[in-house]
Amino acid sequence: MMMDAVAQRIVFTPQWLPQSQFAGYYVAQEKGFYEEVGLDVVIEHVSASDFAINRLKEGKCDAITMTLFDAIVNIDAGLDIVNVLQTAMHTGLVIVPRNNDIKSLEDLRDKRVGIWRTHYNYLSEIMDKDHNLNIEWIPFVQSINLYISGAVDATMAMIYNEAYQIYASGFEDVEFISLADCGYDFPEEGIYFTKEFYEQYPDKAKAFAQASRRGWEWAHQHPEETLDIVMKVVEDNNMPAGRQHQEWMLREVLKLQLDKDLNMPAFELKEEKIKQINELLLENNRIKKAVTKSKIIGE
Amino acid sequence: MTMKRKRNILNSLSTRLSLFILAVTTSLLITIVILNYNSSRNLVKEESIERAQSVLDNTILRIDNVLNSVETAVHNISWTVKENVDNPEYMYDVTKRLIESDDFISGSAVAFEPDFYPDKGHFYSPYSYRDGEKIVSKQLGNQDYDYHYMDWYQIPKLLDKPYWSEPYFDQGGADVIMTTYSYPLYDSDGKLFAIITADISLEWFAEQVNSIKTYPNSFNLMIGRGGTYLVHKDTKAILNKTMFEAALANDDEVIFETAHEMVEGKRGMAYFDYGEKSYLFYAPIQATGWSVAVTCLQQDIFAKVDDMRAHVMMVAIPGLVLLVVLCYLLIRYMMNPLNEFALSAMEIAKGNFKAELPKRKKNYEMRTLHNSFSFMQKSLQNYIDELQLTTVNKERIESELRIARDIQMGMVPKIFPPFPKRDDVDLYGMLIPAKEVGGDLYDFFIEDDKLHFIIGDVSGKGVPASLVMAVTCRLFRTVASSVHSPSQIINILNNAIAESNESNMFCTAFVGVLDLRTGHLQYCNAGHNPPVVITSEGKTSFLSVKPNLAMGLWEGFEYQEQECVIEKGTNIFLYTDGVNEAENITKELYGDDRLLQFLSRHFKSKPRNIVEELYDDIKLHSKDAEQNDDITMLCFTVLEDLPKSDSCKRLVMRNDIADIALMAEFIETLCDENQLPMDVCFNLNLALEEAVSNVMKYAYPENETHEIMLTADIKDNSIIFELSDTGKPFDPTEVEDADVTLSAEERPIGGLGIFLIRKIMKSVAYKRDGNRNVLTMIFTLN
Repeated sequence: MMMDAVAQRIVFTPQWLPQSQFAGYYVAQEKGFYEEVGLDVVIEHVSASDFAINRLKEGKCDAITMTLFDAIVNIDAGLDIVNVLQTAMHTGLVIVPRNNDIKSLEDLRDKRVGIWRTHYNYLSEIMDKDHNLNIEWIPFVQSINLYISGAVDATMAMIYNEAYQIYASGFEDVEFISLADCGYDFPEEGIYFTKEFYEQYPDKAKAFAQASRRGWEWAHQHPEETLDIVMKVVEDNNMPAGRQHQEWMLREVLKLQLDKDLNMPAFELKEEKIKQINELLLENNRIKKAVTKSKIIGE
Repeated sequence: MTMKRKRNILNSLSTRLSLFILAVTTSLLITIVILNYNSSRNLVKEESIERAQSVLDNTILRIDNVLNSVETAVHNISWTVKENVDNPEYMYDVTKRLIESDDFISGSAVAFEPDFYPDKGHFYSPYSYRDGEKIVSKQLGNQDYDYHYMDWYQIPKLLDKPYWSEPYFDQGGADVIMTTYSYPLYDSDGKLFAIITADISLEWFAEQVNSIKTYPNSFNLMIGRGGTYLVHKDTKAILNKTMFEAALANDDEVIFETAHEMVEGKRGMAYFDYGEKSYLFYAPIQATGWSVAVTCLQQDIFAKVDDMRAHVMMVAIPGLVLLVVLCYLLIRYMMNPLNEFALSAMEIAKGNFKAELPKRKKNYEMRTLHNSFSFMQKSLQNYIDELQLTTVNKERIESELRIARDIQMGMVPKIFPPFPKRDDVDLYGMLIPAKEVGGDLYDFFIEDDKLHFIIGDVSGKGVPASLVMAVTCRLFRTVASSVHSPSQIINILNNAIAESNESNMFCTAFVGVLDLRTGHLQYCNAGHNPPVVITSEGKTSFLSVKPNLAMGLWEGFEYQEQECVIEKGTNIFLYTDGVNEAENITKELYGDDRLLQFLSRHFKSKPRNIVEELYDDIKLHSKDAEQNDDITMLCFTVLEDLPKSDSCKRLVMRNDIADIALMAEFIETLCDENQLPMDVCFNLNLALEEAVSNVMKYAYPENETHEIMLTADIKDNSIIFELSDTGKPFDPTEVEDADVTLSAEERPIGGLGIFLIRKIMKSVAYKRDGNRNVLTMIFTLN
């Protein structure tokens, strides 16, 4: 393959602030995997009010990370994006009860439950509806203060993020309710390019996907060094995140990437899961028609 | 070179006493120091807890005052919002006035519910903040900053009460950590329509908290509701880390528990060993739910106490060393005389009783010891002197006694048979003193064929008795040689002894004069045991005696004499009471009965055998008992067959080959008297020498002296020889004649002798007569 004389610049925006959740990309950047394939990758993070999808729509970036749910909904809504790499195989969503009375989904009936305001939480809503829980969702922007202050009865949390923050704030005895265990185990993050970029530079997009995958695989093999790389990015961005948190997050994120059967990262977008998501979204009138895998991967 | 005895220093009393004192003093000191240290520590600990908590409380009070003033300012101004709710622009004034009202307030907003003012749109939140000296205002809400979902807005709204937000990093403002007080405003229906806020910088709080300086290395911290560090010496930890994380990272239960206590709004103290031992005092800020803590290093808290301990030890250790050295020197000085006394004692033990003693010391104990030693020295010297004298005296006495014994023994006849040339009497005597010297005596001599004899026993024993005995003995010899009447002899002896008897000594005695030719016995008894008469038939009886008195008691006492005839072959046995009164260990006497029985059994024995065997029998009786009295025995026999005519001659020889010469003399005399020719004499000599030498050689065991008797009786034309001995039975006639064809060495014993005897004698006959071998040989003249 002929390399362009000038490295192709790709602006990549992971869906959240600098943290271990995006360790594979930092590794690929730091270890020069992108450079090796002739890419000039710039990782630009979101801010508390500048979401990744908005940045993509506005042309501020060429690629973002996004959950499969968000991708299907957005594609159905007409957003032209292409999945070049599916990283997470499972959902990291958990429900963290504020008090010990809440032990199952049923216990959440009519309760105030915190939820991210930054993106639409289809799965939570579907779950609410499936079980007819009548949850009062309380959107929050970033912090877990809502939970700590006791303003909510429970909160949605990512196992690698808010769950840790709660755990590290004196709630170490709390039993998380994993959505995966409640029958809502769906793949989450993947890398999505704008269709425009993908069609113009398919090789670059694919090269980016391959280099990113390589970054993740390296992270699986070198978790300690990966953590060092993450911490460097975190500190460079002046993020209030301690090493312990990042360590926890890295462990959990890498876990979510494992194929349960193979016990190793598969980076596979399963047709079956796409079908289930389509069914759930159609059932809940979230999409007009099913989005096919070929559509998702831009074929 | 002198050998120095190795001394183990630990065995020295001085060292051990010093060490003992050191041990006791050190234990005492350590106990005191520990007690003192512990109580000081406890005092200091209590004091520092109080101090830390009071400082903490003061700080919290100051913070509370500020928080209260802010709260009050907000409350006070809130009514104006409600009153002017119709005037949205007025809200800017409200925020400005709020900032102006309190120096701590750095910003303020009145944030309204979405779409509260339709013409203001979805967001309406007039906001003012300090920008240097000025206060500037702006509308805060927009698409990018939807304040409705901010903690400061949403939480008080949900909780329906005022709320101090968790501190946050204000990226938009002056890059400081802020906290916001949110006060919900409700309309007349009780519906929330706005939140009024006041921002204050956490900087001042941090300063307040950090200003707590209890100890040089103490540090302070403040945590939020979730344990997040709000004030911490590590600025990176602020807002980034929680106290729980620190506990989890170090797996520290104490920090963990403490963090829980703190976020639960409790106050208290914790001790933890976190590399350095530290105390952590904490107290809550009630208004915000935060908690302030002061951490003090233990070593800081106890620095003064530790210093004091170090000082005490610095004084105490050299003090102890000095104490021990002084004690050692003092004790050694005081004990030194003991060493000197030991050396003196060693000298004394070596026999130098005049060894110099250490100088008298001042202290009582050493003075007493000195006196005791001195007294001991003198006593020992005296004792040894006396002992030496006694020993010398004793040795001299013993030596003298030995000489006295020899002299005494020399006074009594000791050579037996005493009259080898006499064939009419056989006599044997024995004297065994109980001590070196004794009081018993016996003596005899023959004069004019009369046997004069005495046996006596001086009262008492030992030297005094021996002296009387000597006198008596000597007197007897002297007197009896001239006076031949026993009563006369005793009278003289009695008077001589009694004459100068200052000590009231007395002496029993039996004196007799026996005419050997007739057997007529004259005797006189002076209080002595009666002699025993043993007939040739074996009958025993005490000789009838008049007791008279012991000699020396009564001067001039007339002793009565008695007389009798002693038949030939009768043994007369004289003895002292050492014989019949010999005791065994159970004090049983040997007794007269046993004496008589013994003598009757041995009536055929010769005097020597009787005496010696009786002595053995006495010893058998007394066994291990010490001899309690002198034992003296005298026995004699008036022999049978006293020569009736001149024709019968008798010769007694010892079983000593030297006595053969006596026999030769005997034959020669016989031949001379009867004018026998030389050849007869020669032949007789030849035959008899064979017979006699045979008996001498073989009849008795070697080294025993016995008597052999030869008689010769000339009747008609014959000479009858009778050779008798008490040796083992032996019949020489039964020995076969020697094979004269054999050489002398090859011939068996006796064979040649008997052959020779038979050749010379007409007849040879043997008979065993009682215990005697009797060989009768008849020689025919012509």
